[in-house]
Amino acid sequence: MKIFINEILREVDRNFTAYQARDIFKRNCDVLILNGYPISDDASLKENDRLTLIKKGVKPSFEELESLMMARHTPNVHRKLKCGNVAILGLGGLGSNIAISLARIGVGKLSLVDYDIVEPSNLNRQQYFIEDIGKFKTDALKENIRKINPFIEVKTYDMFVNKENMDTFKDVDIIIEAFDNPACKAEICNSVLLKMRDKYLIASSGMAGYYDSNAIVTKKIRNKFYICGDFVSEAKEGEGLMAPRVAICANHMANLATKILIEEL
Amino acid sequence: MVIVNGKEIEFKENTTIIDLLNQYNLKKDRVVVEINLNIVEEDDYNSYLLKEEDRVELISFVGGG
Repeated sequence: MKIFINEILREVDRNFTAYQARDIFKRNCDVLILNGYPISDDASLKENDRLTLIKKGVKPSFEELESLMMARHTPNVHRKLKCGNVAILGLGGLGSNIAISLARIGVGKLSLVDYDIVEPSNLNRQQYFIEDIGKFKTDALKENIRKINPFIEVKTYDMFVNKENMDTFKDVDIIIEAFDNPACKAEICNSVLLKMRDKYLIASSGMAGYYDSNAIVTKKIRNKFYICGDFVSEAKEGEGLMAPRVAICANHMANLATKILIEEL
Repeated sequence: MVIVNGKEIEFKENTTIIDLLNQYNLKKDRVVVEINLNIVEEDDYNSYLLKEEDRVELISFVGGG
């Protein structure tokens, strides 16, 4: 029968088991993942099973890395995520966290959009490092994603996005509005809803402070249009944006994008 | 009557979207306005007159991200 071991097709006997495979193909490996789930006991294998054998602490070759990273997903989920094409508008507390979450799970194409550079006050919530200060956010985030998952096709746009130039993103599946400024949020949402009606749109409103985590929700506004946030907690003097709550909102948005990519596209 | 964000309010003749936004203390450049499931362009907020039984959704954004 045919099985896949570290994504390579292998012909094995019937009644072949996971431990037999380990002993033949990677004797001293210590993590076995069968069809997306780590196993701690031997298991018999079926036709088309996918078994991943990982030796902890050993850096795999570039060719092997992608299959090992994807071992946590079933093949169908991996394929759908890899086909995904998402634009993230604004790379602050929301956008930088969204980009990293989507890169970690292997969303194939990310368009990163921002006009600004990294500054020290960003580090309380945004996914940059001290050595990134002074770089364009697009360049810094692209580099940070490459260190996490080098198989993501990242396009960067150093631009101030507005309703006049939104057609730059006409080929993506999902547009994520992750701006700070409420007028920019409204402008882009109106523009997408009126002129790019085939797109999924995920927007944000209200995630400042350290209020109740559970006040942040994912709300469906209309067909293909969602807003995440608590809808009231505005960033203002004396009430700033902080990593924990901004990341909660960011990952509401990233999780919704994941669901759309897997189930609706 | 008209329905705004799920709640019935009294219908008044010659009410524009701008009037409605003022009534709810919302800024016109921070909202998405949907009437009977259609998105209304900001350029039309001054001229669009509400009709009896319109269903209006006013979606407003606060800053932060």
